[in-house]
Amino acid sequence: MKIGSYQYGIEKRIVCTSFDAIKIAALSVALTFVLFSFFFWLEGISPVTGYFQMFSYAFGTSTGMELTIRRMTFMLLVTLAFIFPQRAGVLNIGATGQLYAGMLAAIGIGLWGKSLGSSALIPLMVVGAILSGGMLAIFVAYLRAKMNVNEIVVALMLNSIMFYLVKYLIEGPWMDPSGRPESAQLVKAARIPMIPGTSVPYSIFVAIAIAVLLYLVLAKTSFGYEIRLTGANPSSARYAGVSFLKIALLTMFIGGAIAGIAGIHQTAGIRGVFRIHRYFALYPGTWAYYGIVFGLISLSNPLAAIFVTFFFSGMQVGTQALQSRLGMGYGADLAFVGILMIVLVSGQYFYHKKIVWHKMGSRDRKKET
Amino acid sequence: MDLSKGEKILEMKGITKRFSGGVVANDHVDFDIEAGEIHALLGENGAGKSTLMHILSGLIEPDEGEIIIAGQKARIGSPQDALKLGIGMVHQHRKLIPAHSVLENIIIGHPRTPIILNKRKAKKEISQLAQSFGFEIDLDAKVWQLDAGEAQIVEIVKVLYFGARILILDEPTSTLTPPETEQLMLSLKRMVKEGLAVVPFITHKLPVVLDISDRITILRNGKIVDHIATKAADEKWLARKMVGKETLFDLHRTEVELGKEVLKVINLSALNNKGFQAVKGVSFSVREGEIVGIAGVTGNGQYELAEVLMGLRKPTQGAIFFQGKDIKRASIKKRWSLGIGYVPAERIEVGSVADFSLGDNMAINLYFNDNYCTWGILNFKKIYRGTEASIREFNIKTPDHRAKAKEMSGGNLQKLILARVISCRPRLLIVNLPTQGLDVGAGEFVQNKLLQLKKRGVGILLISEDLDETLSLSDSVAPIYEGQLMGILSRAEADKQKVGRMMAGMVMSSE
Amino acid sequence: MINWEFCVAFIQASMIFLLAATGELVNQRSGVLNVGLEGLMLVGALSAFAIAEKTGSPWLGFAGGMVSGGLIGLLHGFLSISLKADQTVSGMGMWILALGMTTYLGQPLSGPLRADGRLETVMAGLTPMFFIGIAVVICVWFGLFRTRYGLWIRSAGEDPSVAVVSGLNVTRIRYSCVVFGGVMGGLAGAYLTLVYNPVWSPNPTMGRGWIALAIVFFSMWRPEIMLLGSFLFGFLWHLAISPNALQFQGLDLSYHFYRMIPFIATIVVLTVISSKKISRIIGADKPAALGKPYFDQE
Repeated sequence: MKIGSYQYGIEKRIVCTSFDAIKIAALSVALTFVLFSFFFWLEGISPVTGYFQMFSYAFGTSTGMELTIRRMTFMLLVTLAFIFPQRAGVLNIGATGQLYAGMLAAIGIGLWGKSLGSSALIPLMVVGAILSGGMLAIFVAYLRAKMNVNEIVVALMLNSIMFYLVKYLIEGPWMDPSGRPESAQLVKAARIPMIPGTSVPYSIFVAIAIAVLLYLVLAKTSFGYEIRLTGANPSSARYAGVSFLKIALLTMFIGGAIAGIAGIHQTAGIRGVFRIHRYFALYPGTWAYYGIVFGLISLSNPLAAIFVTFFFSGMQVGTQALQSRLGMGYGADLAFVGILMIVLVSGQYFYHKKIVWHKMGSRDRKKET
Repeated sequence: MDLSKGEKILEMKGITKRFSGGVVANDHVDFDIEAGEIHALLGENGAGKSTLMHILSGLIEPDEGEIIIAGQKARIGSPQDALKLGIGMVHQHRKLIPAHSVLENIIIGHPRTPIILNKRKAKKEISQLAQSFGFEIDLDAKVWQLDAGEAQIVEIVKVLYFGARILILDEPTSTLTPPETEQLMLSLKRMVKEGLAVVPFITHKLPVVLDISDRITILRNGKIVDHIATKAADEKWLARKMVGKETLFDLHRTEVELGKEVLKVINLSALNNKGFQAVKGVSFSVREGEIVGIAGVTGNGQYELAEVLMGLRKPTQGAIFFQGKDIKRASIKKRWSLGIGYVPAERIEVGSVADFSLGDNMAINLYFNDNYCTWGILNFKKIYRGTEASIREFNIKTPDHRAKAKEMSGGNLQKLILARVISCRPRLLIVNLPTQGLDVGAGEFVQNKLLQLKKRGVGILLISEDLDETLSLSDSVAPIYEGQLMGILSRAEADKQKVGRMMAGMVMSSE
Repeated sequence: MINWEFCVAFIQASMIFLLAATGELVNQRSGVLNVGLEGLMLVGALSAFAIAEKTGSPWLGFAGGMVSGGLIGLLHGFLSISLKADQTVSGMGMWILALGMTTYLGQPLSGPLRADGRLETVMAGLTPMFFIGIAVVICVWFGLFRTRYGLWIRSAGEDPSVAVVSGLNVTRIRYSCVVFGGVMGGLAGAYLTLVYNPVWSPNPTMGRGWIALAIVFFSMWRPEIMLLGSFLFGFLWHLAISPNALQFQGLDLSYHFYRMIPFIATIVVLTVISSKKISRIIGADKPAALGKPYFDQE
């Protein structure tokens, strides 16, 4: 294909280094920003103004920053919930359901233990969330490891089942006394304490700590090695004596538990809300799927996930602010992530192919990714 | 094509095919096929058989030479061309869709299939065709319900339905039981009576070849070595032509006194991935300091045997004793810990992880080793140091332990795998095709390493296709054929012709 | 009470499932998995609504839904077949994108559809689309099992390498199936906003796409079972919002329970057919190459 005085073509790529992968991810993100400008165009705003307003709000104002960090806690947790099993080659699409399980544990234990003090109640809620999220994930992992049932479809089904379970509970036994279709509010003892002077709950530190811990486990322990081996070459892992069942169950349990913790954060950590509200399926429900794409951008590296989720949480918060400031319609933030997912997944094509060009007439070849 | 028996249907003249790296797979091959004959092509793996077959079936084209069909020069550029010219290929591994019925498999892609399937008409046509050659097939059965012999018949009928006059069979008897083989032979004989030609490409099944073929051509190292009318051939002559003279390796072999039994296998049987018997009642033992060589062409059950011994495959019957202990139920990890090591034939798919560095590859056998792992934390520094040491000791050409496995050449990768397995200090080492694809230097290094281990009292089970290698290294030689050990010969008794014939299925009368 | 009105309503609900599931069944049979079915339906729903609102013709609306669905199908096909991307992630991405875009673009259209934009009922409360829809399903069944195209499609989904060796163009087969799936998904969405509930609000599909996806797995890729499953799940779906239809000791969980059953049932079926023995007895037709991109010899 000719463009100008250059001849373009696509060739097979022989070796894909991590550097190449980062380049592809970065380019995908950049392309997404370009495509998303379409929305600004629809509204008649220049993309530069639009993006500037977004970022200045999210990272420049204190309210924006607090929202960003609060959102980042959630995003980081669901991203880690996807990344950890993914390193073993198991796709955890069920983060939404596991998240709901965690939310239910938080509300359920929080409401039941009304009279207990914080120091007893919150740990109980956390344990509950870990167990419920983890057990749900193990169910999927077990079906996959033992019976080779498609884990993606089962996870999707479970997500829907959990959705209706939550709906039932918040419109029934756990309904708010006012009669609105949301859950009752958590008492003070059940709320995650905030960093003084801010609306940012301490869960941010928990999330970052988990990210660092997962990174260390993967890099330094034999368990982490078994996970990486299973993900890189399942046949070699089996040859080496690694039990796929054990790895699948453990990684999924941990992933589900982390998603459950995200549930606690989202119910007991959002100031002014402290409940499962009526639109829970949209946020945080749909948000839980973002963990997949953020995990892919981070190249499944828990430390990278910290920065990736920080950046994109800011983007989201900024977009939502923009929606109200400029009167943009709702849905733009969803669209952004959707574009990101599609662009990223198309970008994976370039793991095996590369664009090659050379000037007509000369034999010099330059490579682009 | 209306031909009388004896007329040349297809001629190949001067066919030459070169691959990158200077490999000449086919070197000025002259080959012809007459109507109404069964013309067997014999050759070991690597002799150029596959290349010749792929050329005939249209998957690749030759660099030089010409193909003449029915007196006219022809170009076979694709499988469709081959079919149009009347050449039908029946693959070694079935190219059928298990979920579909026999009928559906036969009519897929057939040019005459109408838009709305007329199953009744097709059924009638195909049944008639099949019966005319003596085949009995149930057109409504699903292919997954068929056994190997029946599935093969389906492929043959399919090719006939497409109008093939020349049938090329790739290792036709490798997946068949003896009665199925007999059945096939009868069918082939019927087919050639009708004027078709059949070319079975075979490696070592001498009894089959002598039984059914009219002519035999032998391929070795890309060249036609000889051809002969079957009536004039006998086993001794064939074996000699196929394996050639003995070549000596430069090896440092010292005699060692053999110790206790390290491995004892009694009446072991196992199935292959398709569910058919691959290992049939095998019994043998390996002692400390002994190299037992399983000699045979790949596909006779060696791979399954190795997997059963390592725990990667469950046996259907039999017992396995390691150092006197029954390990039949031991997990794979347990077997590594007990002191069994396995170097698989699939270097890249199983034996190593392409994307991992050499150091991380070394960890494959060390991650549960107490010397390298405390409280769950892996001491990567120690592992990497060990990797560097192995790189030096084994003369692996690489800058350092951080290089990725996929950048290694075959020889260097094999050395790494060997170094890794040896670092576990196994008492029993199972190696499958240890020098396949390696250059002479790397190959000799590996062989000398094995001899070194032997000196240290390690028992070695050597599975190899290379007869020269097996004979140079082994203390005992056990030729394997269709899952059974044809005998266990001591080093003194084993000579190349004898072992070659046993590997090919000839039973030794003087035993 | 279960009366004719109830039946018409649940039949219409079922049709939405049926149309979407039929399309998905075909593209899954050829080997391509589209988890973004929900997004496909959203796009069809909005396009159909918008066009019917602008032009006052429901038939143009249906056409619009089908075309937009087909385009999305084409995109998914490009990602899955030519770029060989991970089909789950690309499907999810399309769903999220569709949710965002339809919410955003549909804002100004919120509210009921103009009267002449709606489809007229013809027989006893049923619309012509009902009959067209059933006809399509019968054609698909016939096509898959009685024509050579059906054989090609099923071969591409079972083992593309064998199909290629037999002379089939797997790429073309898969593309056409995935576009068909897109058209049907768009049609299902159009049915939703032009017939079943002609009002625009954000996220009108409310998870129906996931149920349609479940139906395809539940049906073990057999059109007859898919037909039954669609009506069964449609029945349950509608039952959930008319709790008086079946009296059960005033169970409060009737709504949520009925909605949950299809998903639970699908998991059960998936588990049961995963055992090789049982799947052979029942004859589960899972396309062996489902979800795996075909890498041709390069």
